Amino acid sequence: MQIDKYKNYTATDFLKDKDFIRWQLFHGEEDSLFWNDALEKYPVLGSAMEEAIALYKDNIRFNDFSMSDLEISECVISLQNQIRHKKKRRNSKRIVVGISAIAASIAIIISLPLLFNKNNHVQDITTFAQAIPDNNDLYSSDTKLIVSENNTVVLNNKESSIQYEEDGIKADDNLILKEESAPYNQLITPYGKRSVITFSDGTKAWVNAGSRLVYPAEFNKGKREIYVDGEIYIEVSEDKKRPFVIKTSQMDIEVLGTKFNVSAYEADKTNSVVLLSGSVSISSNSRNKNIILKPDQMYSGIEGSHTVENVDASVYILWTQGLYQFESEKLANIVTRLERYYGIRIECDPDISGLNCSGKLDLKDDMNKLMDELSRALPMIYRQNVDGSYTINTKS
Amino acid sequence: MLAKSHCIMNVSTPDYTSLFSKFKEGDDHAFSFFYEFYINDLYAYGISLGGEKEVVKDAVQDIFLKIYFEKKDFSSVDHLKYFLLKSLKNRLYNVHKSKAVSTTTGISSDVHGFSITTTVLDRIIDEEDRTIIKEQIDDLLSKLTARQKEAIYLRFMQEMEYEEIAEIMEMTPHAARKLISRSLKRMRDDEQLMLICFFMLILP
Repeated sequence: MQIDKYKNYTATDFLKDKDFIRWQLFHGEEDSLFWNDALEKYPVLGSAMEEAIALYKDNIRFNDFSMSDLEISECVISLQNQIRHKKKRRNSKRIVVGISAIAASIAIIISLPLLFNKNNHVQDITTFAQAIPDNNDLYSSDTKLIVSENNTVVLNNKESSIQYEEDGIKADDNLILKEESAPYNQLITPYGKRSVITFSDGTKAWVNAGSRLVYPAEFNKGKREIYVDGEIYIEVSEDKKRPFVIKTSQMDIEVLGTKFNVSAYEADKTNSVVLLSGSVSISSNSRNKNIILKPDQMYSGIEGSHTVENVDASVYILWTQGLYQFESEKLANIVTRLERYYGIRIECDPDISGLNCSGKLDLKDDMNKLMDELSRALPMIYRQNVDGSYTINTKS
Repeated sequence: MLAKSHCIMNVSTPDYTSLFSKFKEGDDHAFSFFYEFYINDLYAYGISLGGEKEVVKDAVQDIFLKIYFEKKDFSSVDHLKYFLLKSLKNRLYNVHKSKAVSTTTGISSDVHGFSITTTVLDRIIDEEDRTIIKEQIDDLLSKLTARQKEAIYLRFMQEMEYEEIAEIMEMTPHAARKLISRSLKRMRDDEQLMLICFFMLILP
């Protein structure tokens, strides 16, 4: 090893030098002595060497094999299945052995009802949903799937997809075991995000921004119940023996198998149901009689009273495709919808917020483009503030 | 995904110790914690030993199934760790042996030994340079036997103590130390030998 050959070396040269590599790999005594000598003779090499050492640490890996998260989840599931399978076989063997241990089994029989009571005592879904403390999750930048108290899956796609399957829960690239799930799961889709969820019975729901869904990981035998605070478009799979009930703070919607849109943000005074096909029955605390909705009808509830009108239902689910069509809608309502959809605050001048507007917006556009379009059609000007929020003023 | 940490299977904080005692009591939660904690490191070790992906995965499953039902008594987290690594190695060796015998050719292939695969990450370094760096490293390591590679890998890439290496490779710590120093010497000597040859060639 000749020290002189190194005097003009750059970091990359060092990285390619076998003697240098060996020193970095194994920190051998002799190598250390040699390189210290080199540095003493050519102190100017110090920075190149330092850079090379840093590059080496950051960029070189050995046997960097690892499984993807999905692969690991698959292993976990297969191991659990194997354990369950083996346990079953063991248990059937044990019955024979068990005869000679009657004394012990008596104790087990006595304790059984207690155990079952404990498991069967599951809270009512509305009580559960409304007991969840208000937090800022709806303003968070990620969609959250809360599977149990200590298992929250964070999804950072703009549009997340969640599927409840036989063995586990697929959420974008994650796979969660059903065993890990609490009786109720929660899906929080914050402002600016959307998600699509498929429940264990095959029912599919498109979830709009700023919505919270509570539902059991597995529906029970008698009924299917979910709780919604926000807006969903749902296609319920038919099951005559198990009615599907959507609970909200204002009303309950019961269906047998149908497609419809529910908008029931707890923060809004109004809530609505628009039916595409099938039939639904809406009940509310403030009424004795249920309201039955036919396809292309819209139910709107405002503080205790309600209206039913004929509409083109398909317009109300355009948001699932990223479109927003409105017909003589107040600008204030349009702004609220945009705020939710984009997760951006928009302040609107009260002088203009009562203006009735009709039109169609492509929600896949960015906010500036959308605002430009609105400014072209309406007597308004907008500006974007430093914090990212928008202000709309009347055009003078 | 986050870059994987490069200290293989290190569990030492107090949190883990309490989890470990639960694990020993047969707690399912603790069991799956350790399973998920070790699975990737075991996988990497299995592949390094020359196992095929699916074979390694199956072997890891079998080991954990066995632990679950046979409730082996582990004295410490380290004990568990060595047990896992050693069981995996034995199992892969057995799988390989049974395969080698069953081949119709009758010629038993060499048992795959430990290998070290170098990856130079695609960051600031040019592709051309990356190739050269990888070649240089591979060339250095190619001078080692499989066993030397394994010892070197555990010592320098996983930063294990000689005692730990000795445990995994089933030898005395003294022998592990000797194995490693011999490997280092081999890599140096070869280099110098080459240099001498080189000079002999150019000097008439």
